[in-house]
Amino acid sequence: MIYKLIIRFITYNKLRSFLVILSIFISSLFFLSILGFGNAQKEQLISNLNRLSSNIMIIVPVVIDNPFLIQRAARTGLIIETFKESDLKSIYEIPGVLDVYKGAATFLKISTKKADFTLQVTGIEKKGVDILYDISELDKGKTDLNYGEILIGGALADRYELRAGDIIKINNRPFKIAGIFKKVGQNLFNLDNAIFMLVEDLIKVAGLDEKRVYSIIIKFDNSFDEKMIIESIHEILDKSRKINDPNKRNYSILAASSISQQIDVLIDGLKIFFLLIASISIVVSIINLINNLYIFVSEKYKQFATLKVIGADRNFITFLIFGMVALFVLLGLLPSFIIIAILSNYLEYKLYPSDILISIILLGISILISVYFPSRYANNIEPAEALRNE
Amino acid sequence: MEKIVLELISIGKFYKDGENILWILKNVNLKIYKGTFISIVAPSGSGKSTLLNIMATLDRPSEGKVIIDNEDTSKLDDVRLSKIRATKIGFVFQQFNLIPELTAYENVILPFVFSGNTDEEYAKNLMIRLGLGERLRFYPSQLSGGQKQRVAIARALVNRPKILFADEPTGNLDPDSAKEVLNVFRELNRDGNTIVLVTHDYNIAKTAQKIYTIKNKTLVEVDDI
Repeated sequence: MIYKLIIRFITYNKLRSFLVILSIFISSLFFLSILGFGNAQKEQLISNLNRLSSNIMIIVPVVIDNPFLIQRAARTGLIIETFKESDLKSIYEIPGVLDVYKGAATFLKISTKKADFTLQVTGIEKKGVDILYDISELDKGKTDLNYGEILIGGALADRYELRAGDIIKINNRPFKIAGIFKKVGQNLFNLDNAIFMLVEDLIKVAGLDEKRVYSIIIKFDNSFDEKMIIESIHEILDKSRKINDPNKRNYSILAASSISQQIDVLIDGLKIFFLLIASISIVVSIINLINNLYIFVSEKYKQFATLKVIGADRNFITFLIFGMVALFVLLGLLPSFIIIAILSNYLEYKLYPSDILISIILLGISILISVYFPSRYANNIEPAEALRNE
Repeated sequence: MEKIVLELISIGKFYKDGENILWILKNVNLKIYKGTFISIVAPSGSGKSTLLNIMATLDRPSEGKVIIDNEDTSKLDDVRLSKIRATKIGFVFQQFNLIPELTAYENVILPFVFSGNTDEEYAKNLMIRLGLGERLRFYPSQLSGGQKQRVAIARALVNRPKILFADEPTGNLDPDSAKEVLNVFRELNRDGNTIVLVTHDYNIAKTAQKIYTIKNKTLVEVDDI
């Protein structure tokens, strides 16, 4: 009977109940999506970075705390001091370093049949092109790269409908697409959206100084300690640039592990920010639920009093309100679980045990708060007062 | 010797208004024996509903004792009082107070949830006896005033209470329905039910075997009606 009463009370005002369920559905979907899809994306990103760029480092002549600021740094011309040929030779001497290549990157005007746009173009020495094939295979075209030719990422090719053999203009000079990479996701070079050419071509087309070394790409042996290699590079470059204070370094060493850590922190920060917003939406839906139950108890004031007259005690009233809250929450959560389950077929979804624990605790607290206040209100109804006739 | 179902001993009820004390009832004594039908008749504001609420454990007296079926209810906690209301007391209201979301039958068996009884056969027979056999699945909104009150009476009786309280049970009914409901009370009393009826109408009060009124804040028997 009590379950029947709970269901009838919930269906008493269908529109209001629907809106309560909708608010729970939206907030829970928001919360679970940020949690699960955020975790999965982060894991995928970091695993790609570690897998695809684990034996490569890039040294750039700018100070970059955040890997996503590389492009902005290049665009805004923060380069103060480029590297020297002697730096390359010294770095090559470090134990564990397999090879050292000259590189450069700058933003250039790209003209395709479909659109004109500006994009960062990376130049790399001919002998260093091979490291790109450590990250991804070519989808189409040839692996060898000659002057006047470029290699492009798979996502870029899809977006602008580019094929191997097509000619595109870079700073008004024609370049032939020698090959298109398979899409691989995030990595040090942002390969999926990149354009590569020989560094000599880039220096010419961008009007850079051919005597300078704009960036250094290092291939190292994985069995060596990455931190030790980085320390050695710092020693060489600090000496070469006469830097005594590590805080005053005017260059950055980008390695997969350090970027992974930075991305980890960055994504965690973003996740916490969005979870905060999602939590606010949950709080709003709890307030909405409590408010609706208050209105419900007010409207059913006499019926709660009648229930007390015929023998209902505090436990029954509390259980009645709990049943309503539980049903509201269940009906709100169920469609969000279904949607998450459907979406997880297309997107990676990952919940850590700590997330599940936090979600359960949050759910428990939400239910307790939602039950406590309306049931206290209902339990305090004095039947003699509520059912007075005169 | 006849069994006392309810006993009021020196019941008093007052409300405090700042430093002033407003007495509603003073020194009310009453013994209600099993199978009796009494009515309390008094004008509005005389304290008769307050007295009824105290008798039915819906309100606590400021002083005195209410003994129901040999149990002093004055010092019981809310949970025990709820149990007494569920098992020993039936209550019929002027405004029926049915749960509109439940059918007539569901309203009648609702007190089973609190008493632990499960005798649905008795509930159905009770409804048939009260002329509601064809209305079991009807919702309160589909019933007439008289039918609603009969559902309320069936709900009050379904746990076989020791005593049935009725607060102006005909106050919201047309004369024919009121007559019909009063006949139901007479029949129930003939079957051995103990009934306390509260009304402001002397003609309705006459349905009972004994009539009381509230005079000078205390309960007195009316002999001259």
